[in-house]
Amino acid sequence: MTQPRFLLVPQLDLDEKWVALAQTFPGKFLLVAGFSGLLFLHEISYWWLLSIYLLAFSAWPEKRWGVLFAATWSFLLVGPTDFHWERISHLFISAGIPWEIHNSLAGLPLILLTLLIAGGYIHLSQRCPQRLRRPILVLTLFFLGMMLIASYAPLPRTITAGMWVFLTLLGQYYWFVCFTLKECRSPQALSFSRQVGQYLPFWEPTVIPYPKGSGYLRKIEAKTARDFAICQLKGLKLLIWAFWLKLFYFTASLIFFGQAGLLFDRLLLKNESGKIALYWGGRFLREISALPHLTQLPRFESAMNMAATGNPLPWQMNWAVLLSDFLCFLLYVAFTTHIVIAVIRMCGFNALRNTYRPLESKTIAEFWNRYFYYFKELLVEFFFYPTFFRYFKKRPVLRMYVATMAAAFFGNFLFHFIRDIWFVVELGFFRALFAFHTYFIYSFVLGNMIFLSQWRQEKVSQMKMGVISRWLAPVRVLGFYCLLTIFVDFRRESISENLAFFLSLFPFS
Amino acid sequence: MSREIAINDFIHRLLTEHGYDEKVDRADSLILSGVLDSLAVIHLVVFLEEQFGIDFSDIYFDQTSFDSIEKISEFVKNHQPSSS
Repeated sequence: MTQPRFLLVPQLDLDEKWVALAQTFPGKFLLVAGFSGLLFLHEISYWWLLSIYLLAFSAWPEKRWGVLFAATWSFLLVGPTDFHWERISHLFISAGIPWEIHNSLAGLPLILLTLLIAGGYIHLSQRCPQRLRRPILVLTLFFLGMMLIASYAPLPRTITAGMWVFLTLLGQYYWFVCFTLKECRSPQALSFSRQVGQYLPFWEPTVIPYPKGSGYLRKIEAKTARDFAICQLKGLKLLIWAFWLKLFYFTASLIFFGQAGLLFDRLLLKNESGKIALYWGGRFLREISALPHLTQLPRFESAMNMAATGNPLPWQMNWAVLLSDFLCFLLYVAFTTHIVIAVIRMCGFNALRNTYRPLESKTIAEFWNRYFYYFKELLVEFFFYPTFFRYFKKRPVLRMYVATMAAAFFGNFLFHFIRDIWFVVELGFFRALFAFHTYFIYSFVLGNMIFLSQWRQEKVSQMKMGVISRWLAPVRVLGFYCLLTIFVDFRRESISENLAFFLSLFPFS
Repeated sequence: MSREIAINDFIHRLLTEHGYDEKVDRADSLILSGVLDSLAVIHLVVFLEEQFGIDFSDIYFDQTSFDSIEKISEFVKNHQPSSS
């Protein structure tokens, strides 16, 4: 007789009793109630609204796409967004247009106008595929060209302001539009109106489309009642796992930085819902925070500031700060994106996890694939594949190098430049480009190292790795990414600040 | 049939290299299930270019078209130059 195994996350989706229960009306209700309770404990703002949406998804799985449309658009109007309406209002007012926009509801005409223009372009690319052979490339050139014109052309201020507003709004939808442009050439393409229901979806209304475009979403949707039940149970499981990871994250923050209580305080101020859970969680951690700490490291940013001003911490301490901050960062990415994927699964879309065991990566390329899957997939879809399929077919090594650099270097850089368009609004195109020089170097190094990792992987894949190599591989990989994160912080005056911290890791400096 | 055998052999070799040792049937999901990643897709693309002369530069490409041995075989059937 086998002993029952203790698991941090129960294998609900493999238990036939749970699968059967999740297909009944009370079972569905119970599942959503349990999920909502966990969302509340996770301090998710608007957890109650998400719960209403999930109830609708559970009650009418066959009307999933309609519910998704309604949920996304209602959430856009009442939930948090990255549209920066206060900055948009400032642009209008400084151009002499007395239009103050406080929320997405007031800004809805602008959102609709932006999507109407995007829809017109998508329609054009669908109607004239021969004349518009590379619609994503044309869109990118158009976007960058408009940035240049708005930065430097001697136009009336009202027109410049209008252009910036359009670009900042389009910037939010940019990669969603790119997915539609790609998918509209598929024989089974969904209509634009249906795809718009997934633009800035309620489960994560940010610039990275989770999980990719509508075509992908359709491929992973649960087709039967049983599949739907299993998919939802997997969602619940992932949310439970996210809860554990969040606990590890706070524990690690507490051990390394002695700041878990402070973190909770900050969340408490930010978050208006879920106060009770926060109160007890925060109080518990604040009590522990009052105890003597094992270590009380400064945060990465403070250590970097100290190095930048010529007063670095001892090198051993800097290593401790870097390693602990990197570990906390990985935990943070994992639990936040697990919550997103859990909600997607509760809606009946069986999406893969965004972060999957990154600490097990044996190569730099593998880590890139495991740590932020949907960002990597975006770069692969729009930069890697198109380059790989078109150029240097007769020269395999060069072909792989150029395609990898197109994605991990150029695509990565372009993504962040478009995402942080407000830098361009404030500084102008070329000054903003210069301000990104640290990220330019970061993505250049990353691209080259991913290429080398893939190239080396091909060479050694036939050989068996020794035991020591197998153990050392993840250490090498994590060490590389840990050092590289020093250069992710590109909002500094110059790369010399990042370099100062890098050098302060070594005793000779 | 020889087409599917060649694809089947290649996929199994690819899976072994990826450390996946479970049996895969012709309809089993490879991409959507996360068994194979985009780098594996690239190896598959190079194999299909060399083995079947497929030119991917003008094809609508969706990596989920390679989700199973069955689908890859269907893809090759539709895009192999000699079959057009």
